[in-house]
Amino acid sequence: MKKEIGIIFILLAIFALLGGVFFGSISALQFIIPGFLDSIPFFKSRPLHVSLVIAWIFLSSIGGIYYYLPRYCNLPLYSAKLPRIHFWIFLLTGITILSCYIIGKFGGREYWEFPPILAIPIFISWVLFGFNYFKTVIKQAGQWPVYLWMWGTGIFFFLFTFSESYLWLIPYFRDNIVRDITVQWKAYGALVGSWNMLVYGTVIFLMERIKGDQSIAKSKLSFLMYFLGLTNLLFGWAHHIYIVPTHLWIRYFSYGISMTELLILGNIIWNWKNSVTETKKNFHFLSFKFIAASDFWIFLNLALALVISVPAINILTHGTHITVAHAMGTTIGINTMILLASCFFLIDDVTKHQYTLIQKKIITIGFWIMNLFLMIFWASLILAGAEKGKLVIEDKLSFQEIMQNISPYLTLFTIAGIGIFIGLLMITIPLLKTIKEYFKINKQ
Amino acid sequence: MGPDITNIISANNKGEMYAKAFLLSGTQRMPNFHLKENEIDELIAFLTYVDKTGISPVKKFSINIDGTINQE
Repeated sequence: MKKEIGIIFILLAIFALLGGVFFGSISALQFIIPGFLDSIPFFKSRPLHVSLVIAWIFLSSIGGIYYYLPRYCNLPLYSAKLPRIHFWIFLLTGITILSCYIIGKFGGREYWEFPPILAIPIFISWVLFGFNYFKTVIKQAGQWPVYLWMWGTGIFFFLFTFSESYLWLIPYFRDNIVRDITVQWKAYGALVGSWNMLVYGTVIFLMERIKGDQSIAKSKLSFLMYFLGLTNLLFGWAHHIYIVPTHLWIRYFSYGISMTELLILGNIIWNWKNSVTETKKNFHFLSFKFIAASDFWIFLNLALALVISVPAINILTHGTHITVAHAMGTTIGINTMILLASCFFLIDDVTKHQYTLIQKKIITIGFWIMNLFLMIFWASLILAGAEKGKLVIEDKLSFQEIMQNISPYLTLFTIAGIGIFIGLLMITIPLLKTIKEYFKINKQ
Repeated sequence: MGPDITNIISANNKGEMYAKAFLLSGTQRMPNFHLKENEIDELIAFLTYVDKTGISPVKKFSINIDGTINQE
């Protein structure tokens, strides 16, 4: 029996997640204890952390899409071979990228710090993915559920913004620092929007399937949220470039766009209150837990995002630990919670596995450990950033003195990061064991 | 999360030699990348160019009623 490609992507995704959080913990320790683990210094552990965590988001989203389309959407993949080619390109490029980091061969920029030549196989793999996706979903008759739009939009805009993030290779962009930074930061802002489309499509799909109500993904409200998300993807990036000299109208426009997220926030809180009680009975126990947690983190992170989108506040928080709190809170609290829910849904569906009482207990304890430490992690970064922003504006202390002042928060942040890693191990080890059993049974 | 070096070349008590010293020896947190003389010169030229593009972080500004700011 041929193994499900979706589960193979998910397996690689879980390894990327554990590796990413492991290197994240190492980086945090190196930040507070200079010289810790000198064999993998900070300038290597940090890109290892960033690239592996991004790989987790992509691999788990893609694994889900490849699995859900034929199984649940009645849309057999246009090509069953392309996903396997996609997987091997990802795996081989990924190994090459990690090797480059370990031997200290860089040459790229934030997110993609590997030699730029390795962007070519990544781009090709996404073209294959996009080609297969659109050739598959084009067969869908009638109104598309919103997640098909979200996934398609995510793939298209990933290719667009990924290319844009490499414009610095062209001298026209590289030779002018203002133009260079503007384009680079714009590309990264929109890039995050593109992978959010993949993740949010996944959560709407899961909510629809678990609740057993197909109207969720076809409702006007879902489409309104999609269009607001798309508008933010297209224009909301501009708060990334507040401090770069730009036309005033761009700042005002982006500020207004960022504020439209208030509408989403209001809807999410409203739906959250209702959906928790209504759908609880029908939800898959573990997937439900993680989706419910992501709702909580959406609320907190959107509130933070809105606050730091105000130019008068952004000038204090830009480049401080508050930006990191925003990035980490959304990546771990929202994206990772949703993607873990998808992992549980998909693995349970493929393997028909029933968790033992002890396994459920371990996963539940891991879930609470992860969330509790994430709260400490997030709060300590906000406190560190607020203190740093205030001290920088006051302009009385040197950089070293400012860092000395915020070091207790950073120690707390590091301990909390290790706590998140422990929680994640408790959640993912039962998942990995289930996949191992599945592979044993389906040994060719 | 490192120091802002946008204006390191024109900053009081810092400047080109100060930046060069850091690049040559590294610190406890920033490793010595063993850069060649010409690479260091190129980095200094880059920092000199960046220094002239503006001031960062912005420390003097006024806040408008709508939450936007005016840099002074």
